[in-house]
Amino acid sequence: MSRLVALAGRRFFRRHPWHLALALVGVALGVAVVAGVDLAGSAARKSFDQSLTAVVGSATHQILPAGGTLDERFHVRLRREFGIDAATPVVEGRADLSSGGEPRIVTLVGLDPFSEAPFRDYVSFSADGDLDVTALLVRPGTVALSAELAASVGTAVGEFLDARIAGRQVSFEMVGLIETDPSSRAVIDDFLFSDIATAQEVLEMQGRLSRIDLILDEDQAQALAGQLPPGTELVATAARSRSMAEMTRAFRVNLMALSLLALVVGAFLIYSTMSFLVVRRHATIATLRTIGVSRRQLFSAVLQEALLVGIPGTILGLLLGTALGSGLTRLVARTIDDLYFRVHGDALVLDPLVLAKAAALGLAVTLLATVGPAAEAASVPPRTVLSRASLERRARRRLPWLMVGAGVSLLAGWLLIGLPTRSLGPAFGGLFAVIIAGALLVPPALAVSMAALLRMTRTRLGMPERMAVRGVTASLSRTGVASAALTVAVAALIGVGVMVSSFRGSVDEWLGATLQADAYIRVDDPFYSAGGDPEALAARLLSAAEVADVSRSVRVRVATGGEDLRVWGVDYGSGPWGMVVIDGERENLRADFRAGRGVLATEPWSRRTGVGVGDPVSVPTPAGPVELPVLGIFRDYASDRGGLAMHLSLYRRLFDERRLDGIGLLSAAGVTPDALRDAAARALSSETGLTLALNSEVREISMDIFDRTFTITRVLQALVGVVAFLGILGALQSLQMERAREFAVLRAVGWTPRQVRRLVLGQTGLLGFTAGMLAIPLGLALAWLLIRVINIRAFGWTIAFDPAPMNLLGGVALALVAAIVGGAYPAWRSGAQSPALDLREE
Amino acid sequence: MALVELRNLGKHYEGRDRRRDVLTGLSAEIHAGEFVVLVGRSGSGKSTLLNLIGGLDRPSTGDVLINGQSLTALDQEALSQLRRHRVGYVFQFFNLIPTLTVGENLLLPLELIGVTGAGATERARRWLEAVGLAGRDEDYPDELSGGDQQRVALARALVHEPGIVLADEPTGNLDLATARDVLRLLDDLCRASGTTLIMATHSQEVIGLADRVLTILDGELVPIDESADP
Repeated sequence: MSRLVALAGRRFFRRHPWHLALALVGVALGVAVVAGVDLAGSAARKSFDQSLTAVVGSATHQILPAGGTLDERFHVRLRREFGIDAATPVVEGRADLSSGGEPRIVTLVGLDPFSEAPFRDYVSFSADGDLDVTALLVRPGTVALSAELAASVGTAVGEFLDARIAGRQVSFEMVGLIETDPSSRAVIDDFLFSDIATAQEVLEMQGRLSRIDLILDEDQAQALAGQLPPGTELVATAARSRSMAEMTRAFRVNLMALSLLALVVGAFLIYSTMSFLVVRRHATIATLRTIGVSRRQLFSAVLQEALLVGIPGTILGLLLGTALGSGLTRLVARTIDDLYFRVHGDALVLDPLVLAKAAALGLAVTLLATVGPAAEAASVPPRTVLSRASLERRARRRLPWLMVGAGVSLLAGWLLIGLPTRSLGPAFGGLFAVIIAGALLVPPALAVSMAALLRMTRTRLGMPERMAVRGVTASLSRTGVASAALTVAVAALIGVGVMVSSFRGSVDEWLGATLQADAYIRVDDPFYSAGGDPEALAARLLSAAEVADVSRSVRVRVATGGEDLRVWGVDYGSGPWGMVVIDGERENLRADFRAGRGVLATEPWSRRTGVGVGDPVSVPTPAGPVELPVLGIFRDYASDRGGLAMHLSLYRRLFDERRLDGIGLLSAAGVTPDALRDAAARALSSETGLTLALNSEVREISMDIFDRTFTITRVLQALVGVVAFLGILGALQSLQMERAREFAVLRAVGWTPRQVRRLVLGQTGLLGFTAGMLAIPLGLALAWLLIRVINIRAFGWTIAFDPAPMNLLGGVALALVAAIVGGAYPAWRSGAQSPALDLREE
Repeated sequence: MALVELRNLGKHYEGRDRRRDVLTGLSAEIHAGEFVVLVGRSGSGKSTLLNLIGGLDRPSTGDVLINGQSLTALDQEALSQLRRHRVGYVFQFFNLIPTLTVGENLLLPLELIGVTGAGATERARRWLEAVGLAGRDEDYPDELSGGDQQRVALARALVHEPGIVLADEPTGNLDLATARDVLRLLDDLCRASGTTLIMATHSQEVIGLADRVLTILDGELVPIDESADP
């Protein structure tokens, strides 16, 4: 590699800092988005692992009930009959410490300090420390908590702490502080620890346990698994951790794919910039070839120049990514909280592996995006007589080959997408192949559309406008690449925008079909049934004149094969059916459901497990697994894990409980929502732990949650937009700045500055508009793939494809605005600068 | 043995609807240290012939031999090596590398043949002095006049002692007086270093300086009296 050839390249950047800045921004933003998203995902994973470690401690296995609770005598049997000493009982429930409008829901954990030592070292008998374990053990109603939690709820050792549990007010005496290592600190801030007897008493779980934690070797685990009583399951904690990681995998993969989309857009900017630089230096490259610089040397010189951009761009990207990751971590944690499980703590963890991965990706993408331009540089013939016209002829001769390339890329995409797998990798591979095909089709489409425009407007356009149109095809070697980058960037925006708005529309429609009652009562406290009779409550509500009927529902999570299965019990009463059945619809479906002849499965669950209509499904119940047929599949956007729904009467038969989670109220004819609310409020006046909301309020809250879970997508979309905007702006500005001499010649032959400005802005506007229009079909293709292939594989949801015009117009508007802004400076300059100077500078 | 041997050389380009023959059956020998001028009308094939001799282009028929080595047998890498070591170029539009200083433009051919360090710097300095631009090594090409840029180009073509200098209308972009200076300088430098100079030109003045004139008419070499315009 010649030092001087490399030096010549470096100096070119120094003389054209705008090109350098543009390429730097492309790399930096791409890397920043990838690093930020990966850091956020990694923080969420770490946070979850820490939560799990803090909660399960050293336990290797857990015995979980299939719904409901465990008999505490089983814990004693474990020691006596199975000879398992490393077993400790756990009782868990929610405690509301909210005060003064500040919500604070924590988990009350009742532990047995005698058997805790091998599991969690922070709640066991030890002589030192701030925790008086004896008091915790012998004095009823005592708790210990972390210093942070104590400070946040304003209590101290020796003081009393008010909480609402199971709809009742409870007062705990705080007898000590829990100390733990820093990694678990965020987790235990969300826990109140008590002796198991205290927890059983306040949670009204006398004689019952939430689970039993165990430390077992493989032989013990195998022996125990075969002898468990019905309705219980032995789950390895590692499997549970894996299952939780698997649960969020699709979410994380989708985020990563979106961030890669930002990087791909960045890569197109790098490609565009480097191509531009090569095309611009054709004469210099040809001279270098005549004095003996070989093709290989030129190829590596261009790659080296790319690294000049790639290395600082990547470093800048990592810095930006760390800052971005901090914000994204909060969003990811909140989304995982909303969609999957509680994530404790949302602090950014600077994982060196994540940063190294993003750096490697940034450099690799930079080099990959430069291979084309480098090959172009190496192919420049060593003849300085190669004119601009012949360069453009070469670009035009390539058009059919670009179409062939697009066809090959489309075919590859089609094959990847059609692979018989549910894996997301090939689907994203297909998506990116379609993007490449779209980019390759842009130059031919540009040439065809400009020719058509010229034909259509031959006599109606002024000279500057005619030249602007002709200039697009006359400079296809430059305009083709800039337009391709612009089209890809805008298509990415359109694709993600259409996907989100389609999803939102589908969820809204689904809520409309699902929320058939006029008002809902949510039982906030899962132990409400212990404090009151839910059926009596339902009957009381039904007796109100304003209420025509009630629907009732309950849900439970049962452990099966190391993963949670959600089971709903639902009774719509005489009201409308609140499920959108998408498979298995038939005349007697509702009758079969009401008669408890089977279950309905959610779409995501059915897709994930492959269990369809008519197939048997094993439902774990406290009495052991029960096999039931799947009567139908229904739409459910509430969770991508999904589950099974059965009639309430069947649920109660199988799970032996009368609990209710929700009651829907159907208003009598002519009753306004407000009147219904008043009537329900009167009926509930003596109850606590219940929330009343009108249908419209539930819909609003649901859509708020939807919007919140898509905040991160929108943030990423906006970042892609920023990358695109800067790219478009830079590419078009470079394009026009390069023509300074041509404009000077026009001025010299008598054009006014105004005419030159019309030419510049006309051409950039035309390029922006055309690329925006070309981005529409590509964007729609991307949206279709995201909705019909990727979403279904990732989450199992079918979403109605809804290409809202606002998304499409927004994309075109962005391209147009960026194009006009990009042309503004060259347009201004062409009028303000002395033509003589530009003529001489060449 | 001739330094440059042209054997039945032909070159044609495929046009949109017909073939355009630029050179046909051209044979000649050029010896070491000779100053040969190629004359002919615009489009007669002078530049094409220079490109073929320098290995910048491939003949359609026939062959070019440099020191007995056939160029058609060489691949692109070998042709690059040939240009590095054996050929120097001078163009009408100077073609200096705009992002390298004058000194660096001279160091570039030396670096390509592995001459670096103080030796290379000293050689570049001497050649700059020889073309009358001593002390301008830190300037960039665009800080020089056209004539001075062409002087730098002459120095760059000769600095690595190539044996053959190919000059394509080297004075076409210069005023008369400057053109005369540059021509004499190129002639002197080539003769002093024993370098073969092959120049394509329209300039009648050059003809007087040359050892031999090759006239190209309709792609063929013709005796000088046949080429005269009526």
